[in-house]
Amino acid sequence: MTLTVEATDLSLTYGGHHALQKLSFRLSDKKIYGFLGRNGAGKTSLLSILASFREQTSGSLTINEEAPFENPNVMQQVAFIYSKDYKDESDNVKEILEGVERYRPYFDKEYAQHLIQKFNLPLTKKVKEFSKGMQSALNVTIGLASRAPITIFDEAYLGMDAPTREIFYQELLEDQANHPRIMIISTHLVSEMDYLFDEVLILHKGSLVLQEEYESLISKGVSITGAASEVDEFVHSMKLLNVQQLGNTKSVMIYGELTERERKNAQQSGLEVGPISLQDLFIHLTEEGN
Amino acid sequence: MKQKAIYPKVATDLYWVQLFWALGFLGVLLVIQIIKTILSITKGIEMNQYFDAVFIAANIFMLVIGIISSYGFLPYYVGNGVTRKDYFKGTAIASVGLSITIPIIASLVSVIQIFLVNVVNLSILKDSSLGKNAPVNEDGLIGEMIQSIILTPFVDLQSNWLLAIFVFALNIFIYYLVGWLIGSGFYRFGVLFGLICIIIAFIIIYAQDILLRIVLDLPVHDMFASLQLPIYASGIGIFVLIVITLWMIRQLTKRVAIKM
Repeated sequence: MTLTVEATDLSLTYGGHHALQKLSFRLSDKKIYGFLGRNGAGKTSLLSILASFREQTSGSLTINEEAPFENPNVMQQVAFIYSKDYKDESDNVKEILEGVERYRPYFDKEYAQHLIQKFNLPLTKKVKEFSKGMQSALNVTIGLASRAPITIFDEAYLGMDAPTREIFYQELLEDQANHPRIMIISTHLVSEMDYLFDEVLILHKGSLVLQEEYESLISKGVSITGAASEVDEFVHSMKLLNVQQLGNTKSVMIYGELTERERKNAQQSGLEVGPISLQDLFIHLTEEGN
Repeated sequence: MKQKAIYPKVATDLYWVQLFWALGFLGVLLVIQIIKTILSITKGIEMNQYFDAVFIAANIFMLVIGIISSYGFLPYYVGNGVTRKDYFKGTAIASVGLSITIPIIASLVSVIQIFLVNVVNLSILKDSSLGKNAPVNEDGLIGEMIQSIILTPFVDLQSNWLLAIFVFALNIFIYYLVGWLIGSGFYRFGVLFGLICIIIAFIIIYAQDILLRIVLDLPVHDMFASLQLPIYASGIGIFVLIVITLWMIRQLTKRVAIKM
């Protein structure tokens, strides 16, 4: 069964701060959704409403047309994984996983075991004695092995070293292929994780800037590389996102698609036309003043 | 997506976790009791029996684990997809179970203790005098409130074991509830409201103390000495007090945002 998440004019205000402002979106496929936003953009606020950690101030958020807050049928379908504070946690990995298993109906114990081995986590050491990265690996293990139809990873990689993050990404892709679900990943490590996303939602200052398929999104811009003078001439009337120059070679990211004719002109001028990175787009779309 | 109710599972889990803590607490008291026994034998002084010793200390134990509930268990359960309502029901049921189990364990240990002391023919155990403690004349409400905490209504195990266990259970249950209330107050609204909850907790304990004294026909604090309530009315009063406390906890935790 595929669940549908639908937000309509979703707003959250606390302490005079508008964390979310009239967000509307719909997630209806078993895909990996990347939620991107700068610090304080409202990612965690949004995800905590989805996970019933808090209630919105106004607007609605539904999962299969039911509000998740205090709804036992919906809450069981959502797993929210974030950088949890384990400083008082005297249980070990084994005990923690036993607890999760009791409350997560789709929990896969063997898969959890597999992940524990992959992440090289000690089973009997107290979790409060783990490093931050190991605690994050445990969180990720819980999130993946719970197999909740809606699984949320909110900057779950904090403290992980690069090889561990790589294991996380690989396992995530593999498990998503085997057990498709609505997977939501919030991050600001855009350049490292962009290949994971099927669809991207960008939040900025509590509002939704865009929701689009990853492939079509990165075709929203192009990079032009070539001799500096040629490049300058070619892009002079275009919207620049980023400029890099090395000696006489210049590489410019522009926002907007090229027409067939422009592509031809570029080729004739000896310019190389390439794809743009999500990171550049993200930075551009969430720049101050935008 | 319908599924069966989850609160019985929460109640069972919380009962065992907290009972495990309680066994640690009871174990420590047992060790102290054994040390006291040795001292009593060598120095020839009398000591309390185990039941009385647990009775004195269990209030604080229950208060503390009640406080921990909102900070530890609430985020844990919501994080595992359990509603606040199921958490609330589960915690309430578990705390009743725990409140009954602790005095039962304490009385069993006490019976063994009395048996052993009698077998070796020692007379080191004091007659239970806790129940006879009458409130001292104190000027003002505050003094009386503090006394209501120090001199908790008590029934001697050997005079009426069933009533003794019941009064013990009722007592520690109330302490658990006020701990839970204080914890929930701090969790929901922060320090200021938490402090208000502590004052409310004092009032609840004081009221329960007066009502229980009336039910048990024990001396009542001066200020309410003239209060003529039939026993059943006091009994209902205690019940209402518990319901009100539970209601306040539920109101505080019903829609609370989980701290991350």
